[in-house]
Amino acid sequence: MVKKNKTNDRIIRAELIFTPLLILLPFIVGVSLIYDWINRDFLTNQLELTAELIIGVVIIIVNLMFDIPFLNSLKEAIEKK
Amino acid sequence: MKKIKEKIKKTQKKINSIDFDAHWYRRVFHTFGATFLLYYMLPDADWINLLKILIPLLIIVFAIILEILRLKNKVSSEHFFGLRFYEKNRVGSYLFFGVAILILLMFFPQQIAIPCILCACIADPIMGESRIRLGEKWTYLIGFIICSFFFIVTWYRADFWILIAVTFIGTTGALFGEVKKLWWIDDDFMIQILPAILLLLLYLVLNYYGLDILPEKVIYPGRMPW
Repeated sequence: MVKKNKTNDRIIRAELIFTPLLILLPFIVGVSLIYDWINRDFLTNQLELTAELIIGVVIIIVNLMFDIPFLNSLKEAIEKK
Repeated sequence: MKKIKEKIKKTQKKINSIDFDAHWYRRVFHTFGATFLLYYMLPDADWINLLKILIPLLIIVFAIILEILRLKNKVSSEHFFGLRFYEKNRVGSYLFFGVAILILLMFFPQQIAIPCILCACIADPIMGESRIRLGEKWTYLIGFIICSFFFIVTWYRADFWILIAVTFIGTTGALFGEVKKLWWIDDDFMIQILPAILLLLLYLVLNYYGLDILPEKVIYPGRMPW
């Protein structure tokens, strides 16, 4: 059972201001790691920094996994209003 | 001017009335932590190296001051969205999470820091979801596989027996740090620091006997655009 913890009207909604940052920054880092791998490794045919590629891909996939339900819950909350 | 003020007030009221679940917010906050790997991508220049120390330190000092004010009831806990019930009279887990990342980035080699940070940012929320959906037994198995994966990915260029030892020690440390719940110290801290300390000890002991076990770095600093 998922524990619910609802917000309170008195709260300053800093979490809503941070939401775009929480979602976009990990993607930027993931893409940067992949871009770096392409430049340093793939284009020079060294295939030594594969870890960088894997970490970049994992960051993007896992963030997507959690961002989608988070955004859905946010959308539901906005629609409820 | 009055109209603008009224509009701002109306929008603020509308935003403040949005009521959503903190559960997913906490998960997203965890995965966001992986962003700090950007630290290793920053170019290697003197002024950037100075900022690499100053900015994280300032963020942590700011968070510590905020936590002190919250615990002394100078700032209401209600301003801290996503705080768990048991954190009301204790240091918030977000601070433990941040301090652990800061310690890893500053004092540990990246080959040790990266898998430990990823264990907290990625393995921890996945284990949390597994615990809710699949039960405790599956959680440990899934956690073991994911944590092992991060240590293997980071250390795959080391010698085979070192890779096995590091993966086993790191994963066991991370899982023990996550599973062992202590009131005064958060699992978000332990899941990162415990495996890191174990691996650092292994590295230092073997280094003392003349064996350098650290593989090549995973992430290299970027080049300056000018």
